[in-house]
Amino acid sequence: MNWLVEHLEYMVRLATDADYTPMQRALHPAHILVTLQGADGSWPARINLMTGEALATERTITPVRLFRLLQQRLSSSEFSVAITHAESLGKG
Amino acid sequence: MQNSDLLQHMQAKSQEKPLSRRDFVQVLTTAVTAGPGLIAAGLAGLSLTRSQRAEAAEAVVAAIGKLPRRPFNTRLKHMQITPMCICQDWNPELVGPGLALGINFVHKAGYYNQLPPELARLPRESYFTDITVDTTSPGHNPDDFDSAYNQVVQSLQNNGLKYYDIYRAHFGWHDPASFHKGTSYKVFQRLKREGKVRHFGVSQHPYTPYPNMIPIEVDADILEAMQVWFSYNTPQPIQDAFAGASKNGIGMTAMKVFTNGHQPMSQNPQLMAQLNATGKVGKACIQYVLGTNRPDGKPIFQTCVSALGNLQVFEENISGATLGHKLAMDVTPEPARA
Repeated sequence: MNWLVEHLEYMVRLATDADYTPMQRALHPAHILVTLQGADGSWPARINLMTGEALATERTITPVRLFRLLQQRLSSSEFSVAITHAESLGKG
Repeated sequence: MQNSDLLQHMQAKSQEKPLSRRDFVQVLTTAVTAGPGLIAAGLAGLSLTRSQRAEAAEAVVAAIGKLPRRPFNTRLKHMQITPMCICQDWNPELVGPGLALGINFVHKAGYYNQLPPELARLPRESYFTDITVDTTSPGHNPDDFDSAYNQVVQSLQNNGLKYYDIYRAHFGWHDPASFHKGTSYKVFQRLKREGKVRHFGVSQHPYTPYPNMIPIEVDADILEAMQVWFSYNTPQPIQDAFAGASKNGIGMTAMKVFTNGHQPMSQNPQLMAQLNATGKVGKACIQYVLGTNRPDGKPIFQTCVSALGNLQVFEENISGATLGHKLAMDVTPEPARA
């Protein structure tokens, strides 16, 4: 999960005022990550990128970092619910 | 100097410093001669200033002209909308050009912390919006009435939109049991009484396979709008489920058109040539989706959403939306009300 988030953050930071495309390429996996958030507000530390299947029992909240970056760059509240969900359970 | 040589020369020049007014006008004039749908491609690789990008966008818009508007199917026939929507996650520089093309639906408007100035200056009743209410995604509690209600109320306080035309349960229901509990619909009903939303819809992701989920949602007879994953190469049973929803009069929006469709489409050059979109996968994907009809010959989808990040992608997608809508059987607009 750390590798995935770092990779997506890199794509977001490639976006310029003229070209948002790299950031928008990160949006689809970010949307999928929202749907993979657990009831405990966290995510599997390792996942199968093709199926989303958890490959470890350890949990992480690393995607919150990506969501905050996307919200800041898009001037958006799109990921607020997912961020709040992680934070409300004391993990943010 | 040949056009390709001119472009190459200007690309290199623009990387060193902004193009002079004379150079920019020269390259823009040359690009415009390529005609609608090809202007931005003629500026590819140039490093343009913000004002130069805005002027190029004006040229793109002028060449394409206004997009057609059609009823958002029969349940929402009073909403005459364009075949493509503005999305909150578009490059903000494209919102003005989108509005200039006549695009009058803003998807994910609930995520705006502050409206873009081009939208804020318009009369509220002159465009439509939806809010994607996020309680129904996995890991979240779809029965959290307060969370869903507060998301809508808080967003209206932030962005000043006054109301949303469509309340979309986002990401849709995880399974039929969750759908039948009906919490999202109860939230919608309260918000509707308060004048904050007008119609009930869903942005349904495929947790339960679509052929098992969509008919259940249709049969409940409460949904007026549905947004679903549809692209080139979507299996026929899924397409049939969407055709059934569309036949029921539900306003249908296609999403993930490029994300899921670009790879198979790029491997079908014959189809792209047929669509007059050789080398333009985005255009072909959009055109294909909007041109896909129900068994009765009418289009399944009235509109689509796509994340547009730069002027080239904008022009290509809009061209696809314009042509795709022409491919589908014309839906006779309702006569204007007295």
